[in-house]
Amino acid sequence: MPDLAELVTQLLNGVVLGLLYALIALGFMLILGTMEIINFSHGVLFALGGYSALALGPHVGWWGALLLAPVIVGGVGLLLELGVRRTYGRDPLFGLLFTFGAALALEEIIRIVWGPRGYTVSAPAFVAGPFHLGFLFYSRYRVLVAVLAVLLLGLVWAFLERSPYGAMIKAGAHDHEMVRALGINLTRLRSLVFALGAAMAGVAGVIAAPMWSLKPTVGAEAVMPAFIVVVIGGIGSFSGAVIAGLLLGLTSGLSNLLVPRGSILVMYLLMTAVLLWRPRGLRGQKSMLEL
Amino acid sequence: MHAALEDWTPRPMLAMFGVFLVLPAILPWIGGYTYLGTEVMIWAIFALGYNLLLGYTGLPAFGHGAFFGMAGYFFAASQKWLTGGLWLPLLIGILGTVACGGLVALLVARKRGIYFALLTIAFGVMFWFLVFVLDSWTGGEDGLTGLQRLSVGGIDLRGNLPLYYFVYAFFVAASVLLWRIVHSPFGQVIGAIKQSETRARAVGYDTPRYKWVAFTLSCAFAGLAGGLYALARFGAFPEPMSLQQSGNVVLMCLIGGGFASFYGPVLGVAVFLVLRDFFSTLTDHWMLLYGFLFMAIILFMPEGILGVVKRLRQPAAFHDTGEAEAARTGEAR
Amino acid sequence: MDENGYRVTRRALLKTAVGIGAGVGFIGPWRWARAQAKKPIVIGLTCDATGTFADSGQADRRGMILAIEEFNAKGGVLGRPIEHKWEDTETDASVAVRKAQRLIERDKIDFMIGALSSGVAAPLSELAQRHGLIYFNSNSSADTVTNEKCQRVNFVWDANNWMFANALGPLVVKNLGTKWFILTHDYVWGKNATGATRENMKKVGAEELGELMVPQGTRDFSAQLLRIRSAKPQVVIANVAGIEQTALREQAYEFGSDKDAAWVFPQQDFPDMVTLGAKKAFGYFCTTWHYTLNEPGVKEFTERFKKRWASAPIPVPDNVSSNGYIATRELLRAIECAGTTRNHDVIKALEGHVIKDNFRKYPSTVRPWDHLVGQMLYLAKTKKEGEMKEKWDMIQMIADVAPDVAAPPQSISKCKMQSMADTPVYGG
Repeated sequence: MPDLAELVTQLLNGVVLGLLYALIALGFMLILGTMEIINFSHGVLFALGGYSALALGPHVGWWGALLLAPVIVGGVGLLLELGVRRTYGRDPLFGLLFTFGAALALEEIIRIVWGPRGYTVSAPAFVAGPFHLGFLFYSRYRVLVAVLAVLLLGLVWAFLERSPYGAMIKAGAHDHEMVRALGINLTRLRSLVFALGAAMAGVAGVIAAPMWSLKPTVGAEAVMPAFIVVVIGGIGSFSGAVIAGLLLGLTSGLSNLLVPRGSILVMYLLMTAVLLWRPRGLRGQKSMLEL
Repeated sequence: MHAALEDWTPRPMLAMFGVFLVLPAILPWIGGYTYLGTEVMIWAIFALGYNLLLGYTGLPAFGHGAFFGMAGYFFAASQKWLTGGLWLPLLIGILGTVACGGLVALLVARKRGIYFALLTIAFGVMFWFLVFVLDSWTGGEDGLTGLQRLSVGGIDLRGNLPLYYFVYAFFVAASVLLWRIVHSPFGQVIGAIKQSETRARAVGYDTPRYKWVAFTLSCAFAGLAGGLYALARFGAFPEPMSLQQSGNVVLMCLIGGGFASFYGPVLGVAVFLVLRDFFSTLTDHWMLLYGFLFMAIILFMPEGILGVVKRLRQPAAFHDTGEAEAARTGEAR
Repeated sequence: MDENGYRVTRRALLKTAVGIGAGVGFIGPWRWARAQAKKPIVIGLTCDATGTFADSGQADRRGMILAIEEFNAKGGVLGRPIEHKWEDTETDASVAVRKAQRLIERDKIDFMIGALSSGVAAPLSELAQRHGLIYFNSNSSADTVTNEKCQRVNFVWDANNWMFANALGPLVVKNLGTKWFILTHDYVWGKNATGATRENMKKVGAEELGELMVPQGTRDFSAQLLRIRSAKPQVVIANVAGIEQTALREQAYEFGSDKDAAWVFPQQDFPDMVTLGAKKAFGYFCTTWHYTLNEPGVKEFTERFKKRWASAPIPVPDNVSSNGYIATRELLRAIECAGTTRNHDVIKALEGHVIKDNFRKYPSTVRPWDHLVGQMLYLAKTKKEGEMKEKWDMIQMIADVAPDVAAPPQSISKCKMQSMADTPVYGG
């Protein structure tokens, strides 16, 4: 039977994991909300972030990678958007499929460049190893992850809520014609959003790499929780994404403790339960996306 | 009599049946093999049924591979432990898949567009995980093997040729059945839903119910195809249920031109499977080509091969609903 | 779809069919022309290039190719050149079956070698048996393929779970302790491995303090690590593979759990150790071979391998690639010995065959009753970074177990192999 130490550890893990999920999901949701594109390549962009950390680490250190990777991955996002933009306004399936194809191609590129083998990325030296807190010991790196995640989420929130660009993005999601009418360059805005979403995936990849280790397939595994967070949290809601992320992380962590077999399945069960109770997600708003 | 035949099997369809009838004789000359032909027909059944949902109702379901895969497990489990034999397991394969499909459809019928797609993806992946969680029944990644291809009317199905024609019979039946479905009043309604669900509702149709039926029907065909696939491979495996593989049937319908023609999926399956065979002999990194192919089709040929052909033949008559839609919402570029 | 649409689509269909036919049509005559040359022997290689076992799959393949090339340099086998055709089985049973089917039907392979994952080995061996195609599992350690799922055409060249558990048991109890905690990778292989562990524990008098499952896809091992810390075992037996093992080791190192007990990973392939690096590849394990062994033939083999595969991710031979090499080499020798490619004759040549030049202390034997290659095993541990002479010198052998002790006795075999009469004739 799990004891107190295990319970607390798992709850902490759940929080850390949840914050990371929220970060990944937020980038995904920005793109979804603004352009109604399901960015399937979000997972592989996350992986690219991790691999950037691997490549850049020896040269600029982990912190350098943390700053550079989002730039690189954001750049990749910009390139992708050039293709995706041809699918705007059409059947949403096209955008989804385009990014799906991109995800396959990018994953293969990772495989070509770095090989199919796995890599480990070391955490920065000052946070390696555990720290003790009475009866508990916890990984220092995870605390850093949590701090970084909160910081980044805060930054994005501030950007969305307080900056003029953020207002444009939110408006663009609501009513593109009006935004155009106001003279805002919608095309540039969309590129920005896609790049931003990609950058967020990339930075999440850097943060997660020391925890989860790298293989070309990590992207595919990271993209599903993003989907689920968005479905649970509701499309278009920042707070929804954060809450859903935490919920998902905590559920996963607890399940890890009690029923390890089902720790992934439980995410889907949670999603189904939320959908039955609140079809639009916890904080979703009515949108063009449903009846 | 002649007119009635046309209703049930129009000439192109007869031509298609003819091609597949003699395919085993032609295949070795073009570097193919009989088993490939069998696979094409099995996937064609799946894709034709799936296109009912995608091309005809306009619902972007993305996790459908899960249904194709689970049918194999239902088939395998019933042949191994429940009933043995051939026909009952096939039937159970269909029924089991329809049951699961119906349940999922209940949850997604009220949605459309991206939300619909997102949910179908999630459920598809969920079933995939279930296969691994229940690995004492499903064999997990090892798959559920040890199946038998029995005999039908004295002809042993273990040979590739007899199996081919066995599947051929189902292929013919499924094609005819689907043709009738899309040309029935039901077919008209789902076509209306594809054009504009709001309008269909305004006219008084209970669109969620129609969507539910379309979804469940497509699962029935997936169930048949999945069962046949397990039979052909002597086992049920989780592979077709993964997220990546679920995209295959969508691409198949798109390449061939599922939005433009009834036969699109069949052509798409053939092209896809042949290309897959071909690409993987060319290079280790065929996934790269595959990904680029996906993107290229979406960018340059979203209406698929048959769609392009149609447009070239009769440009005035061709109506690309995609572009019209784009013009309407002002998102042309 | 529209009224007069049918005419369009029929023509379109025919047009496209002709187009595709012409496109792939060139393949037909080209293959016919090739067939007129001295008919080569084609070996299908079923190795993973993607998926969990990708690195090992490629190492496996490198060993096989080296053996084939060495034979070709001597004039091939039975005077015929040897060709190989590789398919990526993607560590996935379904993909493997599909591709093996293609190898048999389209490429008309004469023999097949490969498989790392037990999930791939089993269905492929069933497929092979249906055709009568001889199949060598070069590197899968599944127990089922030499027990319930044994096949007359199938030969297994790596040690299996029973062997690893059995070799380790007495050595671990003697050197590391009797209080064990078990981690089980929650899928068929892992559960099999733990079954073998438990069976062995009874024999050697080890005590199980607890067990925790590691579901597939787990990235978070704090539950398991915490439980281990509170249970205070002397030994942790980790039947965990693939990327989960990598993540487990990372976190164990991160939490300092690697110091809580002696960690034993019964199954450890070298390519995975390379991924981890010496610090995180801590612990003890069982292995069949490493290039630093001081046995006859090892140095020369290593030199040849290094020369051929200088640019490979792992340019030295390891337990995986040496298995691939030896398996392929022995297949070709058996064909030579039988004087034909007819499967029944080659199988007879293989059964009971003793391999003396296997670069080890004790020769290996192809056991006729279950087609498992009985071989010796080593208990080893990872060298500390200071002890390593070069990047690949990560393994320190501690003790070894002779084949007759390491391999499972015939009395416990659950194998009921098909007779020759029930095995279709292939080749010849």
